[in-house]
Amino acid sequence: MRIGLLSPLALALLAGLSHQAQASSDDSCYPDWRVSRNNLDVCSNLPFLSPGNDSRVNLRLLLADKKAAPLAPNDLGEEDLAQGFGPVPFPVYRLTAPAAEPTDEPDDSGTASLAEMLTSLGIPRDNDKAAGDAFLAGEGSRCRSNNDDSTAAFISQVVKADMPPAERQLLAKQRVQMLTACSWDGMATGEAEQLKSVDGKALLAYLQAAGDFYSGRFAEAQKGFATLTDSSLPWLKETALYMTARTALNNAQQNAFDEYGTPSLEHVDKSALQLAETGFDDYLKTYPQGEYATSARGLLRRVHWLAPNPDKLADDFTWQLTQANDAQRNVSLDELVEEADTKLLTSTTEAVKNPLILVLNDLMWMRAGNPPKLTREALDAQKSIFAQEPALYDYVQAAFALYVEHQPDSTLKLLPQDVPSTLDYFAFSQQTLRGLALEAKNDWKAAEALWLQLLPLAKQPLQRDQLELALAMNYERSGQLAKVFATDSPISAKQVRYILLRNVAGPELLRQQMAQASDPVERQTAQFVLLYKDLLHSQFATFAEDLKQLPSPAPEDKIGTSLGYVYSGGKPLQLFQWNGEKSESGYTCPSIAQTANTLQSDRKNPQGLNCFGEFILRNGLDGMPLEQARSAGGLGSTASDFKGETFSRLDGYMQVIDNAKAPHNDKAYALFRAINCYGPAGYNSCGGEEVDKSERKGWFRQLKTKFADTQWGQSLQYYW
Amino acid sequence: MKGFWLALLLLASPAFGAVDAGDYDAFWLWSGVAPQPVLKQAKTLYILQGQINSTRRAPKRGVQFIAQGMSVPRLTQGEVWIVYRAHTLHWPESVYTQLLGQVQRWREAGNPVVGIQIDFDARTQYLHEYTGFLRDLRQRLPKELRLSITGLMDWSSNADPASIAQLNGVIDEVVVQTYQGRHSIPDYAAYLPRMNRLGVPFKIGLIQGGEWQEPEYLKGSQWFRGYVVFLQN
Repeated sequence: MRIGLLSPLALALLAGLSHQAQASSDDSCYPDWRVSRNNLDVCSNLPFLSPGNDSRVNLRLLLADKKAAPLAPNDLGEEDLAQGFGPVPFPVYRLTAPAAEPTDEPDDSGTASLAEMLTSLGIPRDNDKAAGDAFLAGEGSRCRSNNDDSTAAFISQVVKADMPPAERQLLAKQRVQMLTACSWDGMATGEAEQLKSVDGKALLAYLQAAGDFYSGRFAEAQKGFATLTDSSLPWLKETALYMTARTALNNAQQNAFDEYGTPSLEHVDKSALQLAETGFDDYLKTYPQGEYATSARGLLRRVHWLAPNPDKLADDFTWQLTQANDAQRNVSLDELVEEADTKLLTSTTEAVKNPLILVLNDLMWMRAGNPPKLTREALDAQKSIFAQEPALYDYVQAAFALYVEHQPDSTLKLLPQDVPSTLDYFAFSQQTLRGLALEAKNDWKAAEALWLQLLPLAKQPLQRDQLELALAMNYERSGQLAKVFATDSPISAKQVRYILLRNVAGPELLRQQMAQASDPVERQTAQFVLLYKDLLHSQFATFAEDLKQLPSPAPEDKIGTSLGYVYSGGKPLQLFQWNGEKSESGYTCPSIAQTANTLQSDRKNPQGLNCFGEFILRNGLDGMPLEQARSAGGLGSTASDFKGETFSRLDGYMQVIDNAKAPHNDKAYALFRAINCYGPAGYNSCGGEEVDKSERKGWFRQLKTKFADTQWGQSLQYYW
Repeated sequence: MKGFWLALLLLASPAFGAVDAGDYDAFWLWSGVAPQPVLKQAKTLYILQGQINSTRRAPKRGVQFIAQGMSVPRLTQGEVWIVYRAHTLHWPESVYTQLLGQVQRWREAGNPVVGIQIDFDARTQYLHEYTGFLRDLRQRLPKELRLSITGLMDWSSNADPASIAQLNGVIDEVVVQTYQGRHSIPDYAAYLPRMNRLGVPFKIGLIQGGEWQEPEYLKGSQWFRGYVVFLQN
């Protein structure tokens, strides 16, 4: 069963939790094929600004236009293909670059310089474990900075400073000792008294303040660092200034997390937080290029998150995402995108005064909801925030008109009528929205013309893929399915073609693609679908005719995702040559070709109906993907060109059961199988109308009485 | 086996009850899910804390251990399990060190940590590799810590019995999921009885607001140890 392929707990996340807990790049996803969507599906994103996209995807589209980070989707992997994905729609994780830096090979430049200094000072290092290295990536702890790098930085100051060698040795030794744990109780009094030089004493004061800081004695640390902000040693002066702010921040957030480790911002110490903010601002003013400038900017994000001050936080993110270079970011751009999502986008409920962030929130707030979170009034009130970005504001209003107000004419008025010669993601979004508005008005012709006009201009990653999907959906819904498969069709997306073939195409189109498709999988898929539907729609004469096209023996290889199976599922064409091999339940059938032949001349033939069921049962076709309903409005959801009902084997058995003239043995077997349709847990696995339990009980009684002389009357002990 | 089929016959009507977290006392708590009042009655908590990812480029070398929690909890009561999601079993030494270090930090903060739980995408065909991994992990864990894993229902029907038997004595419990997405898996009743075959204590994982009707045979099951409810926002 399919669930066997998912991480057990990940299953739950797929449903309602959206993405909070997922830094993951590997969770299983399935695509939902459509371009226009107003509800979130983290597994099905598109390369235009859409309320249906994950906010991280929308953010990345904007970042790509600002040349901050190109949109670089990972190639479709085996897993993606096994889940049925094509290039679009795509899951969020396809945009996250695989991590490059393995944690088992840490950056050790600090380690090397530390070792060098310690050797020259004659200090042995008993243990190369640093307390700050014991943490997981992203795990929050002030102790993380207690590492080889910060130890090397301190000792290099000790080496540089003016003091006797003995003092130098003592300070270095103490720092190395502090490195081994996340708390430090300070130096023995006797030892401290050995430090007489001015620099030695100052560095000792720093060491003690740092020890207080790591040990959580923030008041003492604060005092200690404050005395050093006027130090004559420049490193000490700068570091102490930064550390006073950092100490204040740690002090402020001491109670900001509840017993479960989740933030409860009402418990933040506001005055300490204010100190931290002023401290970091002062530091950055004094040392804009300082040693700790990057860290200070990162910690300011935390200050603004804890405050909470969404406006400042939005500005932080915008600057760090679009203006800063890698050295000015304390985390990678990918991590910053994740952080913006969890710490800002998904938690703000009010419009921030930052157009880049606000556009993302607006799109989220116009997702389907009752009532939607965004109102026309609120949107009108945002005008001044977008004053510098009028096109962005027009776009948000156009999307609102389409997705919330369902006024496609208003949408069209707000968007540029002319197609620009190059399409960045924003221009592409504008034109996509235009096309969707035209389709919402059922103006299929104009939309088709637009998609075709955009095709040669689509140069950015995934744009062409989206256009092929949009055009295919247009053709499907405007009754021009054959255009998708015309020899000059621009639609080459395999998955799109397979979906249309297996769900919508009629017999003529399937026969055409069997013969002329250039993709061998498409040819086989078309043939499978044709034979399957001929048969299951009880077109027995046509089936016999089409079956002649199947070589003997037919291919044994499984046709999988093109039929809608996932992972290793699939069926071979060979099954249409099923010879009715003796089944384990002892009921004998001829080949499926003969059964079809029988049913063609006698639709109610009891053995024919039982054997039709046997074909489905023995070939594992119960509930196969071709029988699963397509989600409404998605690709391949229009009515199939095959007429008539699909055969259900439960229905077949019931015809035999109700047939007064059915032979004893056939009727017994039909009863046996019909009862088994509900085994072993009371759920019908055979399709067709549900049957009441009382009726099933009646079948069981009949089988055990009237048919007690048959092997099935004897073998069946229970019903469900 | 006969008893099992008979028991199925006795199954109550197919009406289902919604899973009300208030009826249970063991929960999974994941980052991003807001704490709920029902946590006050928790006797057992499974808290997600880390995720071990492999990169596709260099699956053996590029292993990342990513924190999932925001802060170390300060729980004082009940039993706490720390949950790690694993996307790979090829863990470098640093992952073991960091994992055990984190467990230690939790205990030092006073949390009543009783064990760790591994949530791994263990397809049945890889179960053999998984048991080897778990045996090694068991030996690295301090003796007083228990080892739990999440499991899938189809192990009981599809997995190689020899692989399953190897779990015995290595893990202390398996928590079996009965849901997919927000919904209970319709034929769970057909799988659960076979859990007894695993020969290890098992719990049943439910999803808050999902559907669940306790089959009557469950209470009499020798290895059944209760429920864990996955909390949702």
